[in-house]
Amino acid sequence: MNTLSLRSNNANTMWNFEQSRGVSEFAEKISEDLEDIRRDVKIQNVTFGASLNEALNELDELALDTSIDNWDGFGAKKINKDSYLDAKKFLNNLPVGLDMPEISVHPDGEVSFEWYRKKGYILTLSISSDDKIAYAFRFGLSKKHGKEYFGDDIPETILEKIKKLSS
Amino acid sequence: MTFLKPFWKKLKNLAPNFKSQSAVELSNDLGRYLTSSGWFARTKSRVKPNAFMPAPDSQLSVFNIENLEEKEIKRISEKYVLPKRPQINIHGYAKNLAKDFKKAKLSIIKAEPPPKHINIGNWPESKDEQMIIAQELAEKATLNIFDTKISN
Repeated sequence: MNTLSLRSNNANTMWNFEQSRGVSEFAEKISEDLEDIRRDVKIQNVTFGASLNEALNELDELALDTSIDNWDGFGAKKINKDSYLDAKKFLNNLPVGLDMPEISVHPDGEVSFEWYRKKGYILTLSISSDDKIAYAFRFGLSKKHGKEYFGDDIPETILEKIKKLSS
Repeated sequence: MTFLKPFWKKLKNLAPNFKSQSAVELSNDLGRYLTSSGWFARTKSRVKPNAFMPAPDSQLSVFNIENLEEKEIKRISEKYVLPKRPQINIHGYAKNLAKDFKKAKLSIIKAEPPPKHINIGNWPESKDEQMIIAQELAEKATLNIFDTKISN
């Protein structure tokens, strides 16, 4: 006979219910599913942490490569310090589960992020030194561009677009 | 037709690049040298939009590579692009038709020397508008990677 035990938090009382085989299997299934979810979340956090570190390292390497004027041979400005710091803040604030961007620097010295899914599906951001993010977004036939204020949090309109392009 | 001469002379003074601009055919291949590894994705054979962002002087430097063989395209980059910065690498080039730039309402101005050099101008001031144009150009570009990257 299978038994489902419940303990009351208040009275420390134990109830034992005789359960049919079906209910017990259901409970076991839920328990297994919960374990799977816990494992997935743990893996996701570890993976995200690793990819965040990777992205931060990449940003640092890029900052070194672009730390002098004319780093591209076409007259580009060296990386802007404020843009670099804001780019770091952006990466650290990116919610778990979203893809990390490909990182580069624009000729005006601003850090640029890119999410690319396939041809015609792309988001490019430019992190400016004046707390603004310029974005250009193409999602099939839909095309949007503009600027958003970047304070403590990543603007929701930007997050929506990243979600759309994250795998 | 001699009566038109003063008119043409005046027009040329008003728009000195008029003749140069018309010298580039819209069907010509233009090459943008890739001096940063972040400007392309080799595995996806993709040129990234950043390769097409204008320089601080609001110009994008390209070369007319119409009818040029690969070794000639390489030679131009060695001779005229490489000396501009000591530690630069030239990985290859992005190829677009001149009409791709024209369609984006950009100007195509011959800017020699160096020979075959062209400045792409008339970029919008707003960064997000520049970025959307760069995305369009990147989408139309074909990636050409040199067998061996060129470096000093």
